[in-house]
Amino acid sequence: MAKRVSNGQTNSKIKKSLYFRINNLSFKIISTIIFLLSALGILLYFSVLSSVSNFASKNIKENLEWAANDVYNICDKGFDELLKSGFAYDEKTLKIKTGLTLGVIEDFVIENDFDCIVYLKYNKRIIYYTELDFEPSEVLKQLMHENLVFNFEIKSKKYFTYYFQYEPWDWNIIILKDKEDYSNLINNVRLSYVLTGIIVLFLAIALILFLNNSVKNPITKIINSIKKDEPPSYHGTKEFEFLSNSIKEMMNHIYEQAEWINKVFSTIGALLIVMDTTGKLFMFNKTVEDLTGYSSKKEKGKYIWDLFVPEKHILYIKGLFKNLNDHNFPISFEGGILTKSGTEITIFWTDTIIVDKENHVQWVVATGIDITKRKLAEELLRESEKKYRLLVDTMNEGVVVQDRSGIITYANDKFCKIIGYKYEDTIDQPTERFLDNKNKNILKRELEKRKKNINDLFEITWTSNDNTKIDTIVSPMSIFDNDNNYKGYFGVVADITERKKLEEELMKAHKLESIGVLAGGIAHDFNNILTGIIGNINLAKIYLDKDNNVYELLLEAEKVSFRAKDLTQQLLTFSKGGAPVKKTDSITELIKDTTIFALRGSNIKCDFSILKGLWLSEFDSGQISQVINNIVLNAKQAMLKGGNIEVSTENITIKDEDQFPLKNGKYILIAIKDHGVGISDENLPKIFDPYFTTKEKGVGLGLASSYSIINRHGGYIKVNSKLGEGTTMLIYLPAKEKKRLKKEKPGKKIIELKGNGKVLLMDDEEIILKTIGNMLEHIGFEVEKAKNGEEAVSLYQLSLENNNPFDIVITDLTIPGGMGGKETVDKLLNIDPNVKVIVSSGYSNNDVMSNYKKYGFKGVIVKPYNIEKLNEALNTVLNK
Amino acid sequence: MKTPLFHRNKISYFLIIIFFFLINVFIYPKEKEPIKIGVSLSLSGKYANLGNMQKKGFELWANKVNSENGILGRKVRLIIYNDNSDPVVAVDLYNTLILNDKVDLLFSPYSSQVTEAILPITEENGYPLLISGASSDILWKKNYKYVFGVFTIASKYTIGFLELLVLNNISRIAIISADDVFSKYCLKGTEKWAKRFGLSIKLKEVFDKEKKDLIQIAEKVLLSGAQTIIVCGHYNESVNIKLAFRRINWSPQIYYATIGPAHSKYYEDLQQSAEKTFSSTHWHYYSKFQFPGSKEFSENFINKYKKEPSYLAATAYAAGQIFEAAIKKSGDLDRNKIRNILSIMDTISIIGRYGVDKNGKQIRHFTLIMQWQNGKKEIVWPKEFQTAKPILK
Repeated sequence: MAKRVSNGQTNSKIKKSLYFRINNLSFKIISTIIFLLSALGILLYFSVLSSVSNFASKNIKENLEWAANDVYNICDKGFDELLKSGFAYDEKTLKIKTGLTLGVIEDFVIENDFDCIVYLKYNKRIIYYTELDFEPSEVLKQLMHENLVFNFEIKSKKYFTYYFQYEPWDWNIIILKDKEDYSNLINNVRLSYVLTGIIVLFLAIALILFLNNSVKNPITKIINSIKKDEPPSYHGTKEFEFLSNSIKEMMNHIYEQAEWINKVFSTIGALLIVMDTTGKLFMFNKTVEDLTGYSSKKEKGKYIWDLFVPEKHILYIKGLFKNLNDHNFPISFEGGILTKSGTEITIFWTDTIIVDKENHVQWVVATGIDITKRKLAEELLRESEKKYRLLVDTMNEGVVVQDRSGIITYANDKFCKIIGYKYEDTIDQPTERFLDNKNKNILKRELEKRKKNINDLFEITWTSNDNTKIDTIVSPMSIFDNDNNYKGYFGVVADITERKKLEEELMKAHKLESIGVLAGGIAHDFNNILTGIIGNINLAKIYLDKDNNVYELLLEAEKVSFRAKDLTQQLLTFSKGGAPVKKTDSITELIKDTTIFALRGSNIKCDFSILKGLWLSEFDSGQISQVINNIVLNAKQAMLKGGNIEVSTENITIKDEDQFPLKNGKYILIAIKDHGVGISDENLPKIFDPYFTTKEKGVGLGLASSYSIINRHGGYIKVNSKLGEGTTMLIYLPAKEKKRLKKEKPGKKIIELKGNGKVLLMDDEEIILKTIGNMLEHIGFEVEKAKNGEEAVSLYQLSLENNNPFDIVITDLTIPGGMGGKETVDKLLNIDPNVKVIVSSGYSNNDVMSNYKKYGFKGVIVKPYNIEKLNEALNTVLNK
Repeated sequence: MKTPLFHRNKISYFLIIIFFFLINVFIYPKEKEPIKIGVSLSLSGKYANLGNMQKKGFELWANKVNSENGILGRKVRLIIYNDNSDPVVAVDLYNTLILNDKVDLLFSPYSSQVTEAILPITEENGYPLLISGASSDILWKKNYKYVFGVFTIASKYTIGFLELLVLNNISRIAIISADDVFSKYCLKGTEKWAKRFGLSIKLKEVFDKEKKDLIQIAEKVLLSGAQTIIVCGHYNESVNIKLAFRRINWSPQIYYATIGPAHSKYYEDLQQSAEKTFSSTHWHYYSKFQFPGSKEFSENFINKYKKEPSYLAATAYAAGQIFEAAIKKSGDLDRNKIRNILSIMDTISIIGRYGVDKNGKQIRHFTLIMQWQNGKKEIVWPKEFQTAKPILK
């Protein structure tokens, strides 16, 4: 088999070689010349030879006739001379004459290359003959006609003969011309032909050599250069030099083009493979070489499927090449390419064809892009997109993309959730659809900014499907295309509804705090005033008889003053000075007692739902009582027709996700729900504002102070209300795990107004110094007064130096422009560590007042106070 | 320090030298190169007698030409070598003449044998050659282009003698021949012509040329009954045959020898036995009719060499004359031109008319028949040149 293949290959090679030789220029030149010369030679040979033959025959015949005539004349001349000598019939003379005549004939025929036979007519005795190859008598046997040329053949030799008679001597003369002479002529012609042939052959060889040198060699030189892909550089024959230079220029141009194309090809990042219509590789670019490790030059001529095509694609590619005309090019497909090491690389191929003028496919060009990285990138992108989509979808902020006309082209779930619409109702919808008129204008203004690539945060309120308003803050980012045309914007939308509320709450708190400061100041001054009023009224009552009409008036004045004191107390609650004096305890009893006390005498019944095991709380019982009292009173006033109030408690734990304006931790919740008229939406945000009230006689400080008290306890108060349905107040107080303190048994201890000792009274208010001084003196104390701390310290120092120290010191907490109680006690303690100092101030909620011991005070007394309170405070401290 | 007088003398000397140079060039022109003509002759060996005669003829011609200011104004210088009658030596000598001596022209050697040997050389080198010492037919049967005969060919030597026999009613002849090329062509021609004239050939015999004792041949002739004996050969054969007859004490009625008897030495050698011997001669120094220059030649020859010239001296001299005519006609020494002229030229020399056929064979010259009568060479045929009647008894 192998042998048969081998033979087949050999035959094929021989055929190719033969084909090559036949189509070789030298072969064509030589064969043409030889053919033409041969044809010319044969033509000439036969035509000329024939002409020569005819000419020779004719010429020989004429020569024969001429020779015969001459011989006759020779004979006749001899005979004539013989006659004239007078011895014509002399035998001896005749012998001599005829002999000499024969000699002349002999000279003649020999010189002229004839043969001759002379014989006697009567006896046919031959008297003369030239040297012949046969017996001359043989000629005589032939039948010859006189004076005619005829042919004579003997011993394969042919002669032309001419026979005539010379009568005077009875001679018969035969002139013979050997046809060989004719043959010689022919042979000469042939010889000439041979010579001519040789000459022509030499000329042909010379011509061939000439053509070889002047035509073939230049062409071969040019062709060899072309075969080597080198521009020919022939110098010599002008025409070939022109041809060479033209080809050189063309090749250089082609090379430049090719080089340019190669450079272009090599710079093309894409793979580029050029094949012929059978699938054989013609070239491929550097990108393919770099990728596969194959060399374009080395692999030229191989079938593409033997090199690059992965096995799974081979049938397809072969089929493609088998029926190139049946396909609609270009054809694009995702395939692969095999590298030298056998690795398959994923390529996106686009096959195109190059056709000639007759639309026949000439080349197939495959361009490909290595999409391995792209695929990987796509995969990564998909992963990334998935991740980011997940991130976007799961992020707490909404993400929305709007096109330039305001149509929503993308929205994540959160956005849909924020604006309260389903995804399908959101996408491809104009953004304005989800906005009220006010916000449509905002959006319109914002879109103008986006177009100018101004991307400031902006707030906008969406209107949900159920008309709920959702406050959001949007972080926009304009989108422009490559030509800087505005395409829309991308927005991250955060729901700030709750934050807004918290901000409102904070603002409210700030408002209250400001008011508190103001109120605290007023209350402080007011307490000082009231302290003077109440003290003087108190002293006046002491000095008057109870039956005195003035006593009754003083009593009413004292009542009113105490009502004023309650008012100042509420004011102080707002102020910083209203810090609660908290104790850890169960709040349950306080709630019940306060509620029942507040509803006493009303037509409203209270339903308690108090949780057993309610956590303890740290609270100022007075303040919390005040809060519950205020709320229950409001409920009572809202339920003029009576009804039930539901009071409940529960333990709650607040976590981050609750998004509640409280720190994470445990809280107790107190809910007080009425079924009264409810609060309108309009009024709802204002109910905790100071001095806001819907009541005719209300001052608007009840809920405001409640809000403040709860806030200072670290809790939160919230209201849910609907007009006509009732209101639920929710109070969150921090739970405490401390043990409950032992309760002091209630009971009022009456202390007698009696004192003894020396008291240093410090206050910046003259009225206070005077009134309280009178009261102290009334009780029995010796009083010295100081207007500020420096003075107080000085007096105390002096008293110590005089060895008459004060028993007790009562100091105001705050001294405008001077040393207050806090610094004074420090100084005094420095002077006398055993000094007994009572702090007195209208700022009952001040931390010093709440935690006086911490600051070195031995007792506290809140302004305004009456003489009993003063007596009790002094006695308590002095008796310690 | 050199003086002005010194300078004047110097210029004068220079002018004198120039003056003598010009005289030498224009007034005493230099003599032209002589025409070199070479020849090898049998100055020794078997043809020494005949060869020396030819040498004298060539020299006499050269002397005459040179005395008349040469040919085309150039003297003739002969270069003559001795080939010792040996063809091999002659070939070497002709090569020497052509290649070494670079001669302008060549004369032919003596004898057909030697001439036949050197012809290929002269033919190859394009030297036209006038054959003045040979006449064998073979020389013109080889299609040589440069070979021209001066006198009658061998096969026609005896025609005149045979005609003489017919006229005198002598019909029985014997022909004997040496085995050299010339003699054999003589034999062939004699036989052919004898038949034409109706003569009866009683004996035809060829003998060894080197053989001197020819008694056996002589006896054969005796026995043949022939009236006439024709010897085809050279000088030696003509003498030896004669001597052989003498030895057998028999003498033929008529004795003819082609070459030999025409020379005086024949008679000197044979004396009385030489009487009545016939022979052919291509020239004779005295006869009724003399070609132009013949008498002058004879006188000059005799004056110079103190003896009579034979026809071989005359043929040599005639060859010089023919060359001279051809050169003058050519105008130069172009050998091809001379050859072409010789092939068609028709001229008269001291031995008669010169004219050749297309093969270069002499066809215009005719031979004389002589007979020793009373110690003298008499021309007996043709009748127009006859100095005495032939004696046939």
